Amino acid sequence: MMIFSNMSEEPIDKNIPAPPIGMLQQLGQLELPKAESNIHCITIVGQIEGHIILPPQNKTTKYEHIIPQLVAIEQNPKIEGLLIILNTIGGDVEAGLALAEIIASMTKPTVSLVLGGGHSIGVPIAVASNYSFIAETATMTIHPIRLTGLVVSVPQTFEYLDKMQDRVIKFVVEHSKIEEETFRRLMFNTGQLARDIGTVLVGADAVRYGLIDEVGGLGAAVKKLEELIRARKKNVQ
Amino acid sequence: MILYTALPLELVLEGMDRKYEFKEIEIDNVKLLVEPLDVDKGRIISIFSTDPLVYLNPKLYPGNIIKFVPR
Repeated sequence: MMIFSNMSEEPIDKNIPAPPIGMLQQLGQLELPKAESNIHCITIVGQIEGHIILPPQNKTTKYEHIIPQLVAIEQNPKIEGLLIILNTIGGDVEAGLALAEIIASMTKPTVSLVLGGGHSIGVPIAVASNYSFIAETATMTIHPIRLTGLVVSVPQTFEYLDKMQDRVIKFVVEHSKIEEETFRRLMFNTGQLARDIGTVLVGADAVRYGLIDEVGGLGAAVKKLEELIRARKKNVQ
Repeated sequence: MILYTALPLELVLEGMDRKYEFKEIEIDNVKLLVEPLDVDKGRIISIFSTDPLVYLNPKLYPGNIIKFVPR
């Protein structure tokens, strides 16, 4: 049986020297010493995919990928902080809320950064961290939940939808500085979106309403995370 | 399922019957999404890792062709 080494195109051969010398011979350089990062990063991009696999033209972030990663980060003593980078258009309510709840319940410092966009279900995920940042040009769309598929036109349908919406609103209000009344007002705002009702918040607007903590980029986010890590270490001692 | 998205639903759900042609593999404890080129060969589409340093590994750059043990 031929065994292939994981990384190269070539089968493992005893005549080929071990990687560091091989690399020195072939490329004239040594492999760089492996550094370890105490900060891990999760990028949540495109649609958040939950119970149903979305068609292939969607870029998706799958919750079955993210959840075990979050568990591993919480458990691994070498990882001291988590940076969550968001550029999401929304997605499955259950999957999004599940991710938001896990992030909120982590004991390790978490910082989120909204780049590009953090729309719909991206909002609870953005506010779930200990501290949140939004890029100056990034946007967040707050709008009501819609029902898909067969809708039975009975009052119960509306009540169910209202209940689902309350889950999102409750989470956002609990984990950010925005007032429930303000958030509801933004959600049901008319005249801002062409095809829907709701509000688009750009960078500083999200901070002004208390949804996000600060306007900033990667540098500010990493600095804040390191600050939180230091503070946590002090508390432990 | 309730989709809470700012994208029009017809764009999200378009092509629901199309097949997903990428494959997930694991190499050196790193999960990769590859476009299969052969039974044991594929082009890397994306990397699933939380370790930012994994993304600096030149062998795992998206677009690289990688050999793996077929399952």
